[in-house]
Amino acid sequence: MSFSLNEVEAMARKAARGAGCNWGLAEEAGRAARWLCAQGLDGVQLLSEALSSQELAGVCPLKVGASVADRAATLPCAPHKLAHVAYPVLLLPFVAMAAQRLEQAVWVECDGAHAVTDGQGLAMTGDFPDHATRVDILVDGVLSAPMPRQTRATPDPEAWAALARLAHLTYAPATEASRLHGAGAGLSDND
Amino acid sequence: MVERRSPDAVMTLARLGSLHQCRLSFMRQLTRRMAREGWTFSRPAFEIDAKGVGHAVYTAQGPERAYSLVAFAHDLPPEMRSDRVIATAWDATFTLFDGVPSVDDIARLSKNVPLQEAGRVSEREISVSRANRSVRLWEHIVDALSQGRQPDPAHLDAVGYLMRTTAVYGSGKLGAADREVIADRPEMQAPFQAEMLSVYLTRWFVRDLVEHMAHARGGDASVSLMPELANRLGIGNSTGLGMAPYIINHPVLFNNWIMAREEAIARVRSLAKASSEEVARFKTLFARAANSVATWQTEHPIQLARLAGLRGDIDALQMQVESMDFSINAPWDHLMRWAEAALTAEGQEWLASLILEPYGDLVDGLGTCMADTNPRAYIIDGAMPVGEVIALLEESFGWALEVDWSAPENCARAWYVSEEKLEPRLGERFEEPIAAYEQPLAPARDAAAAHAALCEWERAAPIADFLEAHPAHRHTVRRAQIAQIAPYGEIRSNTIGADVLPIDMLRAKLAFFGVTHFDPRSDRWVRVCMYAGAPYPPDLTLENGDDWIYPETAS
Repeated sequence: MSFSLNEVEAMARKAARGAGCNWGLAEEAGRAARWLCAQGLDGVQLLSEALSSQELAGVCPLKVGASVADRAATLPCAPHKLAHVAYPVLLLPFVAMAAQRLEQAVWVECDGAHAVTDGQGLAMTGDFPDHATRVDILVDGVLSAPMPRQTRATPDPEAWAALARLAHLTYAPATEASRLHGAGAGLSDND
Repeated sequence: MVERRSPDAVMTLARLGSLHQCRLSFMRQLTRRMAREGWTFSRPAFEIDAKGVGHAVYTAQGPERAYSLVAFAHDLPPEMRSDRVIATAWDATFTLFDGVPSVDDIARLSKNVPLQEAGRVSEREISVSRANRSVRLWEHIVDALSQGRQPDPAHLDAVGYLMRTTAVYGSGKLGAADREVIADRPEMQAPFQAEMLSVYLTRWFVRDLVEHMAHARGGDASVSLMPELANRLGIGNSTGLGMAPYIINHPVLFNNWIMAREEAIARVRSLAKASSEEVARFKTLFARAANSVATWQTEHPIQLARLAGLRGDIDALQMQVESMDFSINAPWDHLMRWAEAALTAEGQEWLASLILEPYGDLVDGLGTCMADTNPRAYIIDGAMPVGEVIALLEESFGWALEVDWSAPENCARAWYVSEEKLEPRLGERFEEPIAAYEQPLAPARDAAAAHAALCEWERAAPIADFLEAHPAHRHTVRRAQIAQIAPYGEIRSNTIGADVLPIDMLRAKLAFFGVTHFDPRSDRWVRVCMYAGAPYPPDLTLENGDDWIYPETAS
């Protein structure tokens, strides 16, 4: 099924919250999934795997990604060197945030594969593994041939369903009181 | 130069809950543009049977692009009629199509649009909406017209509309096109232009449908609705809590709305002189705006009291305006200063909107500043020193740092999303099992907590260090930084207190849409009227494209 990017972001944000992320990080997860889908990557599937794994093989890409984005200012002085990152493609939206803040292209080297982003676009070569033993992030590179931008997402249906299950955990079970008062209606609409 | 009013003065819920439409409202931006650009309108399809079931297409053609309302009419049993979001069937359902739909498009949409949330639309659709009849007025008008009579004008005015929309979804909801797909088009650049166009065309469809039903019942004996009566009818809108979190969740966007209006008010107050034509224009529209207030009906005790206050304000203002010498220096500033001391918040905001009227050249250009075009605002600046974040929190939430957030009355409520219908609700934190599901809609409480934690930290340290140790405050640090570019982005009242009135949040948003006749049905549910008095699309001209919002007579 084809989804709008707004739907992807909303679902990803809720799923991350349902998986236990704080609201601030859940917002980053929503934007990250949206950004990846806009590049033509299945951000829904990547996020679903990262959120659903009982034991992540390596550090959480959302948490370390947020830290990479927050520390963008130090990047021109010293590259970030990370070890053992799970689903490292999920780092790329955060690297893009750093690139936007620096207004410079940022280069990512990941177990022989690499990517470059100027914040908006992305180019990748090689296969990013599910588990990276080593990731280097540095201010470098030129984005000459970005992947074509997408305005829709067609995520893996099972991954979408997995995010929906996590999102569901954020919804309060209905009670009689909430039905009656929570929405505040109660007057007839047949008038 | 008169400065913009301060966020402390403007951003309280009591003030936001007193806002009125103005020249910058999204409905008026739309009709002004369409009139100026000479948009044309047509009805390529109206295939509706004698029972009122079928579809119709209404097309608006602008200079570069066309948009079509695809309307589906249904035969709804009374027991199914509900304005609440939990409804599953409606009198009519709609989508705004990007362009002119083909037969295949109509076939696809007919399988999805009538289902609303249970259906899917595509990137060719920009909005999805539905409407229910006002049963009493619908029957009255069909009955009268079918017998060759015009309906009773008093009946029309008592309700104000034949159908009320109960949700208008845009921005990618249900699979529709994302905002980004249309945001660069000049006619869609201002906020909610697609949704406002959809409702404007819906009003035209509803008039056609009621006349069609009268003809089906009365045959040759039936007559059309007189244009003077038809023009008085608006489209109702019935809105619940789903809309309330919006203005908290979009601080940059909401800031841009408020700041544009505040800038407009400050510009007019700063004028040294008012010409006699400008004063005459103000006085004319003053009388017409008062006509609109005179027909404003509500049964809700809170709004009844506010309305009584506003009517008293208008009387006082009338005397002030009549006796005032407008040749003095800065007359509009003088009037606003007088109002600050003499009028209720409703009256002050009514006047603030009205003084903008003679000054389209000064005000209307601000309409293009009201969209959120700054996606980078959400990226946290991790290098900012902790001390700066503390200062930003104190600027936006100084009032909240003194509040005892553990006192039950200050956190009595919690916003949550119900499992049943996936819509926002407001519950009692200490009476219902909802706290674990709380949505981040209490920025002031969260700001106080973050402020306390930040004060324990080294002020020169980068905020990135703090966030690594205290990731739970990430959401609040982001909002604090957004306030740098969005000084009017934060509500400066408690959104979870025992006395919070969600209708104040609804009113603020709806006023920017351009609605009138705000009629709360409870503290969290409201009916309003849209486009009452407006020309129907084929009659839209430069002369009537803007000030239709102010009725010429008190009916």
